[in-house]
Amino acid sequence: MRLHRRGMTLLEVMLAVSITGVIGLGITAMMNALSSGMIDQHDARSSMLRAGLAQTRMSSYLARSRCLIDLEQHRLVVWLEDSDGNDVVDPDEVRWVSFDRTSGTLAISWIADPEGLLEEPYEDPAGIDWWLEFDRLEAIHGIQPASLVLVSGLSTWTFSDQPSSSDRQRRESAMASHVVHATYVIPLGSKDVTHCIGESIRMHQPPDGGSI
Amino acid sequence: MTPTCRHRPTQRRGVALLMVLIAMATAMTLAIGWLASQDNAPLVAANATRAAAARATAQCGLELAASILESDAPWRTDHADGWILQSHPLGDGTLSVRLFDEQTALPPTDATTVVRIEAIASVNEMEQTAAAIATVHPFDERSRGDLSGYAAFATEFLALRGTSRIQAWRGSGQGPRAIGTLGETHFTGRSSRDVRQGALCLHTAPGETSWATGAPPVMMPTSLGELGLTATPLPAGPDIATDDDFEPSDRVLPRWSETTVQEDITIEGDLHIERGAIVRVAGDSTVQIVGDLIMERDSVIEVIGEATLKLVVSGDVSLDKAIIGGPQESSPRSGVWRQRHINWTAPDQVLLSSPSGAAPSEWDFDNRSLVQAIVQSPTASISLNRSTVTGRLAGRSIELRSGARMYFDLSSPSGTGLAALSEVTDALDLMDQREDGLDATGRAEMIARIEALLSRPADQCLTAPTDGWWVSRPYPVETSMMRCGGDVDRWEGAALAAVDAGATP
Repeated sequence: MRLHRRGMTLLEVMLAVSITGVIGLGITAMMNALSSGMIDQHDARSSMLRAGLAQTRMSSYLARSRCLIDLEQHRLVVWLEDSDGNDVVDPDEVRWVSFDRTSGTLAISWIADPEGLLEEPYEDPAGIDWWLEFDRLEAIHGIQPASLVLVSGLSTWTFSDQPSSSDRQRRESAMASHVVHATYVIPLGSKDVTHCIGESIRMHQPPDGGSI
Repeated sequence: MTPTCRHRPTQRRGVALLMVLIAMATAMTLAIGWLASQDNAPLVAANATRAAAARATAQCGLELAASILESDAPWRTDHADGWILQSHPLGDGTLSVRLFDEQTALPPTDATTVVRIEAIASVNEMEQTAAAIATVHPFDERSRGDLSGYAAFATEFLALRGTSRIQAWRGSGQGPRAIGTLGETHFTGRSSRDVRQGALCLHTAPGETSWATGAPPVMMPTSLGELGLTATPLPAGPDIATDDDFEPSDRVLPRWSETTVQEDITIEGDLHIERGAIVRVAGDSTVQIVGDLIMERDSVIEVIGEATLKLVVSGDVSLDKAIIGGPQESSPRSGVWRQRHINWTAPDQVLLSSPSGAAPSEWDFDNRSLVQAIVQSPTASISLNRSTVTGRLAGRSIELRSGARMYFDLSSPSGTGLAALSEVTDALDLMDQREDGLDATGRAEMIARIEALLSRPADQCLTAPTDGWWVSRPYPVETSMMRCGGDVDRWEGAALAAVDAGATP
């Protein structure tokens, strides 16, 4: 008995192979697009969350501050509150915000004075090197310095500052400013994402001469 | 013949491939659909948007609450456990506002002037909180005579010399240490630095003090522009009733004697308390002295428990290492009384004053004396020489020298007295002393508002609601934001606690 064993023609095989190849390529491309899309979405989400967190934390500090007292490219100093109501800046009312390039963090520092050692307010806030002042305060026995990381995982953080001819002018200009703008870069995998934030001081009240 | 077996050509070739392709396409569609459903980026973005909207709404709530505090609306009494707004629609969300008395942390009462405002906004179930401290100034006709905001107030001359200092009684609260004078000032040594740095807040009349450096003084409203508000004379003690045929008769308490006072007494001459003698005040008493009060070394006028004493002296007061106030354990071995040596007694338990119409007098607290009292005399020149007062001082002239100490009770200011009035008029530059104040129209309007307030009988409203709304806002309110979204105080508290925990072995 003659078996009917007709196979596929070469043409059919080539056709099948080419169709399979095209479909396989399509699937691969689609999977690639899908996975890169998912990574992009993850990055965007992560970036958005971190940017939102940065905005919230900066806003929580800056919005309630009375005024800036110094502003440079990578750091600023704010007069957070007038806790004793004397309308002048006291050491424990000041917050120092700085970007640390090494750790890629933006941190806020302050000093606590549980024993009431610091009685004297600052007579001339525009005439003080606030960063040296922090070092001085930190070294006083009985003073408790502390800090808090506001934003981590940063490549850069830059505050928008005004050009000034002297340190005093820079501080005076900061004290007159109601708004803080910053640009920062968050590294995401192989690429960097740049964000901008802006925050205003809601009740701008520089030392000695507030508004009602 | 064998029938030929004819196979029909099969029609099923390629079906398997087609089926596989269809299955794969279906599976892929489902997979993509599932993956798409897992993408929460839109939700994250919506959350960020809602949070920002809620934060802005909460800040609007603070503004709204501040405007209510500026009005005659009955916010002190008409609230539900402090809530003055609950789920009030505002923008895309709702707003709830709660008030607390900052000093008691309870809902406001008739006496509340410092208010903590908490505004909680909800936008699509996203809640954000903003908080502020507001100081309301319901000035009235008593305000200009209320000196409770001043640690020391002198109508003619105020001098702080050498190492003498005015400090806050630690633990009595927070606020400015204000000193005021309508006349000249003289500051040297440590106090000079305190005034220059603003640790002591000087209130002075325009033109009385030239100020070259340091914190500028606050200008007191001795006159407000052309409208003119004159200062009220210092409050005096009650008049002393004496007989027409009055003849001076001094009273002497002998050395190391003990006397108890439980009722009102009038001494028609001097009261001389000799060395080591003790006068104990056991009830609410008024002691009126027509002559002088002389207290020798180690003599004591001691107020027991909750008793109160009004000591009204027409003549001079001379204290030499004497004590007026609550019971003390032991005097310091050397130097003046400092806070660590002193048992606290509320200053308002003892009032040392002079009657109205009294002649000018000299009140000298010398040689490590301690007075826990409100010392207030329109005619006395008060001098503290190596002595200490806890409470406050008001007099014709005041001088602290030789390391004298004045401890001011920061919880005692009413917040609606002359010090607060001066702060407000200075902040608004109603005396037109600076360039950053109101314009002429705004200044005139504010002066008119404050004049209306100062002529207002106590506890009487100035305005009435219009169509159910409290539109007029006559009261000045100072606000200071304490929270906007994140609670930084809590963050910092946690950070400090972590530092403490790390430092503990």
